[in-house]
Parts: sequence; C-alpha cells; structure tokens
Amino acid sequence: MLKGRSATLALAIMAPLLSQPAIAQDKPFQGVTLNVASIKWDFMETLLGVYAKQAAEDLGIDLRVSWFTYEGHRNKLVADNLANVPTWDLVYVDMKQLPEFAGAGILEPLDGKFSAEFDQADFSGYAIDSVTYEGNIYAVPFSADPNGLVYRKDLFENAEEQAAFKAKYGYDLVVPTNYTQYRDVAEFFTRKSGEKLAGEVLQNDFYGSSQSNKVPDFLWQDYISYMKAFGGEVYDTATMKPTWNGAGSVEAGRLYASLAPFWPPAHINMTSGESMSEFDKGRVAMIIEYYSRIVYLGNPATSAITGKFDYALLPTAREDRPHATLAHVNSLGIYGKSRQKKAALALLQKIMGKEVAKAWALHEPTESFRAGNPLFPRNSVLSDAALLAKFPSLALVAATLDGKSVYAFGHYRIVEYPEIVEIVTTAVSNTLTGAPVDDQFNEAQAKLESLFDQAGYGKQ
Amino acid sequence: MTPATTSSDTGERGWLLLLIFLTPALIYLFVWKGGPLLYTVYLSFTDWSPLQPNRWRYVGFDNYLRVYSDPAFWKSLRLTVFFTVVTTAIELVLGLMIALLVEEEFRGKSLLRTAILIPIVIAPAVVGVIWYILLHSTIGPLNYLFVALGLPSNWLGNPNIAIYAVMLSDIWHWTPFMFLLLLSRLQVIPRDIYEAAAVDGANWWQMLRLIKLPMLGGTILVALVLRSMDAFRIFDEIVLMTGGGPGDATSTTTMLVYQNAFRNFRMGYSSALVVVILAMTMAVYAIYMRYVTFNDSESNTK
Repeated sequence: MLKGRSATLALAIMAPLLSQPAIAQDKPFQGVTLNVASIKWDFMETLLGVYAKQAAEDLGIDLRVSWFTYEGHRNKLVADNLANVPTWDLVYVDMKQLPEFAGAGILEPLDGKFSAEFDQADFSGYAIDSVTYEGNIYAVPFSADPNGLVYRKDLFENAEEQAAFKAKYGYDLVVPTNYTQYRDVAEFFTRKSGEKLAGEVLQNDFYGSSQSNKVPDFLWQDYISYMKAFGGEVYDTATMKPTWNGAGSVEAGRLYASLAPFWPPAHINMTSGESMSEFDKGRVAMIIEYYSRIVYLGNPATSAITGKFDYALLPTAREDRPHATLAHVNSLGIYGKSRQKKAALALLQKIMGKEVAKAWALHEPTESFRAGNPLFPRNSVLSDAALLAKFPSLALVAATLDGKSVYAFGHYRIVEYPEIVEIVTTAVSNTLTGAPVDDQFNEAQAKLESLFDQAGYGKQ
Repeated sequence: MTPATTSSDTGERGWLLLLIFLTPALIYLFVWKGGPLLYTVYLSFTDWSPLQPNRWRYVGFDNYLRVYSDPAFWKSLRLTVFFTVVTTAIELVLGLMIALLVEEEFRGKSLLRTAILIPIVIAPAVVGVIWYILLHSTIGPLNYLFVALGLPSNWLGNPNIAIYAVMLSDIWHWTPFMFLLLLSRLQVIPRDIYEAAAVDGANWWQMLRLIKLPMLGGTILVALVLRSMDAFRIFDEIVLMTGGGPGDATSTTTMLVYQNAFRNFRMGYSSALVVVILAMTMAVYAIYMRYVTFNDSESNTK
C-alpha cells in the first residue's frame, strides 16, 4: 500500500518534468528575460504593454520595459554602450538616431537574419531604406509617418468665407496646393476675437495655421518639409559642402517667417502635441502634422471639430518636388551588446509580423493604451480593408510611401546631425521673432562650414 | 608603575587622530571632487566623443581657442552674468523686505511665514512647468492678466523678454531662501540694542540703517555667494520654459555646456567650456570669500 502511494507521489512530482519538452516546444524561450529601452510614445506603450507583452508570453519571455524621454533614451543607450553594459535587448530607434546608433555599435546588424515567414519583402521600400546604414539593415521599421495637411472643411466650404476670400485674393478658396496659397489662406482665416468666422462671432482669437516651433527637434521636423519643398538643402550630399544659405533654403525661410503672424502666439515654444491640440480645440483653420497624430483627431469626447475636417497632401513650391514631406520612420532594433540576441530576434520578428502589426494598427484606444499604430509600413497592413475603413486618410499615406506622386524624404544621414539641427533651428527660430532671414541664414551657414571643416568633410 | 607619556607621543597621537578624522573628507575631496575635475581638464585637450570612444585625438589648446572665438559662448556668458546679478539683487532686496516685515509682531505671522517658504521646497523642474503654464500665451492666467492690463504679453515667445520670464520664476522660487537666511540673523540680534536705540530716540529707519544692516552684513554676503552660485547654474527652468529659445535668447552657459555635451556629444569642447567657466567663477568667488574673511577678522579685532 505504502509502495503504491509512493509511486503515485513520485509520478505526481515527475509529471511536470516529464511534460517539459512539450512546454519547451510551445515556449522556446521559457525563463528568458528581455529588457526593452523605449521612448514613452503612446503607440509604444500600446505595443509594449499589450501586443509585445502577449507575444513575449507566448514565447515564454519575461518582457521588462524601461521608459525614457527622447534625450534620456539617447543618452542612456550611448552611456550603456560606452560602459559595455549588456543592459538592453531591444531598443526603440528614431530615424534621426539610426546613423549614430549604428555607427557606435549600439545596434546589431540584422541583414540576412530574418526568417522567410517574416516576409521582409512585404515592407515598404522607403521604410527599409530608412533603417539601412552603410549597406546594413539595423532595425525593423514599424511606422512610416509622413506629414499631412488637415483643414477645417466646414470653413473652406462656407459660402460667405468663399466669397470673402475671392474678393480679397482674386481666386477661389481651395485647399492649398502651393505655399503661396497656403500663406494666403492662413492670413485670410486669422481673426481677432469679436470678429466673425463662418457667420459666428469669435469668443477667442482664431488662427489660420499652426506649427510646433520649439527648438531644436520640433521646429526642425516641421520646417524641413517647407525647406525641401522650395528645393533647399542643408548641405550637398555629393560634395559635403553646406548649402544652407542657398536660394531655395532662404526662400523657404522667408515664407516660413512670414507665416508667424498667422500661428498661435505660443508657437515658438510649442510641441507637436500642443500644436495639434490647437486645431483639435477649434482654434486653428489648418495644420501640417504627422499622420500618427492627425488620424486620431476629432474624438467626439474631447474634440471641438468632430466631422468638420478633412485631410490633404502637403502643398509644395516646386513641380519636381510634389507635396514634399518628411516621412519619419520609427523602428525597433536589437541592442549590440545584448546577451539574448536569439530570443530578441524571435520576439522582434513576432511583434513585427503581419498578425501583430495588423492588430496593433487596428487597436481601439483605451484609457491606458491611447494609440495604436495605423502606419505600419507593411504593404499588407496599409492596404488592409478594415484599416482603410477605420482610417480613410491612410490612402494618402500609401500614396506618399509609393514614391510616385509624392516627394517623400528622410532625415540626413550624418553623425553630426544633432549639431546641424541645433545650428539651423536657432537661425530659423530667430527669424520667427523678427531677425532678418538673410543675416540669420548666412550666420548659420558660417557655423555649418566651420563644423563640416572640423569634421573633415569636403576635403579631397 | 605606568610608563611616562612624552610630549612627542601625544603629538604623534594627535596627528593620527587628526588623520583618521580627516580621511573621509580627504577621500571625498580627492575622489569625488578632484578626480572628475582632473578628468574634465584632461578631456578638454581631446576631441573625445562617446559615439566613437576609441577614436580620439589630442588637440592641444584647440578647444580653448574655439571657446574664445565662439560668439555663442560670449553671448551665453553675458546672459548668465546678467541673469545672476539681477535675480540675486532682487531676491536679496525682496527677501530683506519680507524678513523685516515678518520680524514685526502681527496676527497670522506664522501662517504668512510658512506660506512664504513654500516655493523653496518645490523642485526646479516643477517650478519650470508652473511658470510655463502661467505665462503660456493661450492658456496662461498671467499672460491673460498682462493682456488685460495692456502690458507686453507672450513673454516666452518674445526673444527680448523671454529671459525676464525665467528671472521671474527664479525670483519667485528663491526669494524665500534669502528671507529665511536674513530672518534667522535678524532674530538673534539682542533686543536690548533696539531698546537702547529707542531710548536714544532712534526711529525705524535709523534702526535699520545703523543697527540691522551692519549686523546683517556677514549674512548678506553669505546669502549673495550661495544664491549667485546657484543662479549661475540655472538650467531646469530654462529647459522647461523656453528650451534656450526663442532662437538662443535664453541659452545660458549651462545650456551651452549641456547642448555640446549631451546633444552634440562634443565632450572635449564642452569640457573646455566647463574649465573656462569654472576658472571665471572661481576668480569671482575668491574675491567674494576674501572679502568675507577680511570683514570677519576686522569685526573680531574691534
């Protein structure tokens, strides 16, 4: 009897051990902990708090996330890499950071490491190019985010406003396709409180447009599309000589500075979120902003413009650069000094796979996880019928990324980029508060020449 | 029979005790203060960047020459000195006025004293956010008030007055510190001096000029040194309120160092900036401290 009981007890103890191979097969990385370093964007909270968490559990991985500010993230990764600390396994990578992260060894090259099932060919070519540095892929792009023009359809369609516009400018009030029209429309809709707008007396000042002009990054991410639309460049990538005070660049600077009176007065210190909020609260006629932000405009619970706005491609200034827009790419890479690269790659492929990407794109915002990621640059996701039905404006994103009808461009790929951005945005910011464009741009050009000279560029 | 203790034994033991007690302080000074400082000086002669840690060059005095010829450095230095002098002076005058007021007896004195001290306990970053919101050109109540009164508005967006917005936040934050230091000194001035002066027919103004201010002299100097050192390092409020802008209108020396070190990763250049700024401030404070010491010895001999 005792013998029988002992055998039963032994079996009970052994049972979990005997079934271990089955678990190991289902959860191949059971017991592995992966650490993720990310910036606290809404869409990253959703990915890492919901979809990646579930995918990690499926693989048996314990996923731990550390959140940082934009600068804190960059500084932490650079410091940990320098100290040779294997703290991280997966890291969020901003398109601007990719060259310096790849160059410093913070990111693991991923060329040839993806499985056939992952279907790399399904990704937009633009997005893959953006995460390629010196011939190697260093991250998986998960969002290709161009700028879009959002405008108050109700105002543009108002007969009274249309007549007043035509009387003042001599042509019809239309959604601007070039920056001359854009300036006219911005000027036209800028009104003081007490004046009328679409037949209603305004309680507060109303502005024609808005931009986030906080130096350096917010201003740069807004300004660069204007600069490129006018044919401007910071430097010639062939000769590596600064061209910041070239004709196109200065023309763009003049246009941008001339728009300042038609933006909310706080524009000089505004972030992207603040600028978008001005539009969402019904205080602005049109804005140029990232799609990742504008697809969520008009929430009936919080917005003053539900059902009153529409989307369009950006204006331009040159025919050879139609609808010129920065298309910003966010990505996720593997930390160069990770000790769990195999598990990190497995998880990365799973969360960047078609199934999770689609679920993340269609994510229904909740109190804790406020944004999904409809801009996943897989062709199969961007052309998904359910996604297009939910976010009709995404058709414009697909058109932007196909590279045919829109001049979409990325950030400059140069290690000195942060310093360059600081120099040029200081110049632009000064022009927005009245400093002469030519003087500021010439001064910045001299600084850029000195910087390029010190870095050894342009020397034969 | 116990062995006789010689004077040389006592002297050796005294030195040993002194060394034991001084060791923690010496370690702190040399390891935590001296070490990083020497390393910063060393870095200032290189072009080292954390992005390319193994590729660095010795560049001699290039970084120092660049500091000398960098208009951004001189502009930020002028701005920082202006900021430090003006805010410290205003904080001193306001702190003194409040201390003199609170020193008098009246109802609600304790409550007022506590209320005045609240800003000191708020973190500089939080102060930055508070004042950013207060002065915001769309939602800021102070901005609204300025508009209503016909005063210049949108302080944070105007390069000519943005620095005054930051100064306003600093004065709000640190005037209570001045008040606290001065009040603590005022309260230990013997009452009989006032009584004797009153018997001699001295009025309030004469008591202030001839008794209180002379007796506050040392405390005022200490307060000026402490506050001006802190004001010279202003950073959090600027980052949050203006980010150094509009343009570079509020870019102080600490902002410049931060931008070069942590945005551009130019550690060599930013180290040279630190060394130059440190040398300048040390020279100023050496004069300060010498004056304080001189005054002390002077008062002791009287």
